[in-house]
Amino acid sequence: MDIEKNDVDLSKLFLWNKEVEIKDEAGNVVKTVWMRLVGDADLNRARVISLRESAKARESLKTETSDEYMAYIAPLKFSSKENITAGIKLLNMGNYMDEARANVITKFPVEPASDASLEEQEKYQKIIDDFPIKWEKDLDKELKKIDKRESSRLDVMDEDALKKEYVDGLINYICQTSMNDTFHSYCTYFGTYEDAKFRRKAFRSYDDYSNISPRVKQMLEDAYRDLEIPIPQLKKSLGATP
Amino acid sequence: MPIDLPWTMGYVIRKRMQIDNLNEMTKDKRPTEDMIWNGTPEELEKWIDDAYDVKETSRRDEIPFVIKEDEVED
Repeated sequence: MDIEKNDVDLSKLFLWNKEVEIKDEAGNVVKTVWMRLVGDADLNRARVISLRESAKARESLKTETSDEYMAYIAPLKFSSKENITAGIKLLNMGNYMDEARANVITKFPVEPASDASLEEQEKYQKIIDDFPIKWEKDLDKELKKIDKRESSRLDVMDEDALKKEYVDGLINYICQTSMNDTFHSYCTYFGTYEDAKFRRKAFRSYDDYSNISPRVKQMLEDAYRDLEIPIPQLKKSLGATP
Repeated sequence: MPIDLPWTMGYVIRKRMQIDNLNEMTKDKRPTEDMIWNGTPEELEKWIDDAYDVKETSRRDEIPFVIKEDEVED
């Protein structure tokens, strides 16, 4: 969680569409499309479809005869205990980070009263400015503590238990990645139009969208990402309107 | 034709409404800032239930039907 109060920018909330130029490798514009952030209905459709994709990936990874199993899970039998341990830690990094964030309780400074003196307001602003650095330091300390705890926990586990934990983590990671990619792809597909009034979709179907060149797809998805405001930023923008 | 608001605006409006509703609670009963911003909907719901001492066994769709003895006609 980012707890800065300085860079709250509500105006970004209203920049929810834009013109996107698709360029060839020489930099010439070959087509122009219009892109908008999707609404709740399309967002939910993208979520449902991506959940189904994730479930498909999970099933393949658990089926010993599948290509996905052979590619990701089967090579594990040649891995050393050290590599598996390092792999588990890497796969769990996100969870460790979440845990550390939840544990780090850095008390946010109390806002001065509305009639506070200028000096008191200056002092408060200084604390606010320094707050993210202090919070990051605390977070780093907490992460080190978690890493030490995890090292001790993994050290005493036998190889089979380690392998099981690694496989579970790997499957979750691959499914999560598959879900995120599909979700983002669908949002971009739903949000791309041929006209500036957002009436004619740029692609007749998701298959049409999938079949465009990976370079153009990447270009469109980057453009969509640029329009989006991540949830932590949205939460910060709310702080500006108590 | 209904306006298809970008999801970001929908999110902000819903969150704003949630905060306004929570501000209707007395200060001592309100969820903490951390709960509001980082808690799951289930955690928030439990907090509110605890604050108003709602028993876990009672279901939301149940309407309590209380018969007071002094209101019963002989």
